[in-house]
Amino acid sequence: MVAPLLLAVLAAAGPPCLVTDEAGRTFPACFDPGHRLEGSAGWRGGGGLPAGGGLQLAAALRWRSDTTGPGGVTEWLRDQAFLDAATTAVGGRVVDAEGVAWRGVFLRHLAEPFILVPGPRPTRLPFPFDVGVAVQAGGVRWERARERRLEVEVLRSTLLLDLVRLGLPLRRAAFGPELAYGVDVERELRPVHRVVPFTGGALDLRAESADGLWSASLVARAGAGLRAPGGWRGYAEGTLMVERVVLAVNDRPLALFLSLSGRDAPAGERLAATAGLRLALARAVVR
Amino acid sequence: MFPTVAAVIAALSLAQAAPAAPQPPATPPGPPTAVEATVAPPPTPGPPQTATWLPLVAPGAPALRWGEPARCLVTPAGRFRAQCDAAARRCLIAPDATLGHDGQVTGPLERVGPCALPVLLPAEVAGFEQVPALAESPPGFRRDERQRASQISFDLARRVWLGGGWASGGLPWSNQGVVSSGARIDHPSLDAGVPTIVRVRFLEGWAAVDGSAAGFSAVEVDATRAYPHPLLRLTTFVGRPRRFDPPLYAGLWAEALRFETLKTRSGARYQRTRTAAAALTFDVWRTDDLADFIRLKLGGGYEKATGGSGDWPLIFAVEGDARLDRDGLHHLRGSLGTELVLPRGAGPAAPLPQRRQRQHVRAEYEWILFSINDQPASLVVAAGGQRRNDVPDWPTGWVGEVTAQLRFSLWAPPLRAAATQESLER
Repeated sequence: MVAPLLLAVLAAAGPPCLVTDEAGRTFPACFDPGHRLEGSAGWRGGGGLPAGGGLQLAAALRWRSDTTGPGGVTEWLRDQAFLDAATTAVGGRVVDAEGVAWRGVFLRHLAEPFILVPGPRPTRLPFPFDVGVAVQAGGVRWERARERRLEVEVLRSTLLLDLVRLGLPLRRAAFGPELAYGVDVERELRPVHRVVPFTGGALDLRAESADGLWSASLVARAGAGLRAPGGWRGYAEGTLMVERVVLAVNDRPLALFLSLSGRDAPAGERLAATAGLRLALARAVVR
Repeated sequence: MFPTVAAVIAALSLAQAAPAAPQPPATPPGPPTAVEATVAPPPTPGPPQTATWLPLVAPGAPALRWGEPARCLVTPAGRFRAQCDAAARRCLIAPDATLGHDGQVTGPLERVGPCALPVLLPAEVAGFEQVPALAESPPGFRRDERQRASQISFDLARRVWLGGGWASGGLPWSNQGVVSSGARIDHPSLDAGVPTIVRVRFLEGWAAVDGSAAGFSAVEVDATRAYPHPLLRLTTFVGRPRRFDPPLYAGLWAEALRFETLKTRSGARYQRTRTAAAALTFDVWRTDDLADFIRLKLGGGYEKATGGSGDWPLIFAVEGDARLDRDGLHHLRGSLGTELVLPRGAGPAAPLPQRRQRQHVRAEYEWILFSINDQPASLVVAAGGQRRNDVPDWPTGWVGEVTAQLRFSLWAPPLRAAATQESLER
């Protein structure tokens, strides 16, 4: 599944993004998968749902705003998402919902990374990674099976070291330690606070073809968090997503996507898969 | 005989040779020589003629001036950028590339735009003194002998940060690791021609590693401005009439959603959520750019703690934030304050007293130790104490605390008033 994507990415030169057909009509053939308003619908199975699965609806506003320096060299890779939300319904009844108010991944790119020790004559030492941070604020998750409980993730932040500079055909291949604070609120019970004080780690891979028609991402995290009350408890979760734009309606891309997710949950709820269609009001890429 | 491009190249070759750099391999062409340049055709506009090797910049070499155009100078030896002063009949000439440790051209210059066309012709600078130089850098950056740019000035008032370290003291949660995070954006501007600053802090918090204590603030905003006319004027009439304008500059401060959780000595959990707070601020000292200050803060808010029905805290504080050096590598912050907690209803149940208060004093020093890819890592040492009687089963006397953390900041661009590099240090 990932192989065709990587092949597409490797063929990055690609055709022009504004295509003219035999009739002289022009239309965009490239789209920015990081800058769009998207809505999707798909079938979701596993994850504790009944055998027939359920309908998943999702929406997000993604905002990409990379910056370049005076010489035209990329300085910051900046991907943000606002109101990224999804819900699953079975038989017209909502069984779970989750969302994040804001999420941002900021990577500082340098041609020659370094460590600088300030002083009268600063010393510059080589460093192998780009650095950055991923921040997420205002996350919530709710499940009908535990309908009196709301999991609130107030803040999650990860220091990132990015390997892309080593020549991988990816937008980012970053990993790093994680800091998080959340609280589980349940009616008539004391709230449970959750803290991950750099005792967990995250992996964030993202690949996109040059024309934006293929994209894939893998986000995984694992570690140990402290629950109060409750003590230390391990956690692990991850999501792999692959998307392919197959047509455009009025120059708005429509994509097929497949998502696989897993997390440390009771048996039968650990793995879930979603496949569906995603319509996006995306920024066309001009090249 | 007036100097030509040949003289330029000769001067660059002689004066910019790196004192300790290894020699380039024998196969690629070495740094240009006067002979090569003498026989070279005059530079012509067009695609850059990039040499593989260029001389490193010598210590003491002056830097091209930032903000002024640099003309392209193309020679058989390579591509240079030049700034010429017709009045002084002098040209500063720098390699137009980033160099390897042996002088190999490794890429374009970072953090500067391309040199300006048309290409500088020898006839235009005939008779000019040719000075080997360092390429220009934006304020707050420094180039080394290889012309690599590194940020050396950091604005810690514009950053996102994560930190971790150790806390030691007499509080029940002390003597363990702590982690912290936060973001701050200071936005100075001119409001009707008057300097104004808005400071925004968000998602700022800390937690003990075992979760026994944590604090978190969602958003904190304050704003102040310069006043063309002083708010307070005192005139004395004892002896010669004299006027004094005390440094009193008013501002506003507001905060939304501050949360605190503590595990008390009995093991019970105390939680307090301050929904909102606001205060008037009065700067008693500040720098001209309003970035550094000492101020008084007077205000109040609304909060609710475990088992309570809501309280109105009154806030009195003195706060300060100052940068100690030109480049923003050293910072000193401090605060001293008291909060009187007034109950909204009948007041707390025993054993809490009816008259509750929180007092604190804290000083914090932050020192940028190094930077990774222009992102600063700093040591933060803080010392302070607190006294409070609003938490059941909690020490009611003064309790001291010392913390040391390593903090990694992202963004932290150069200070707005950062200086530009004038020369390469000797």
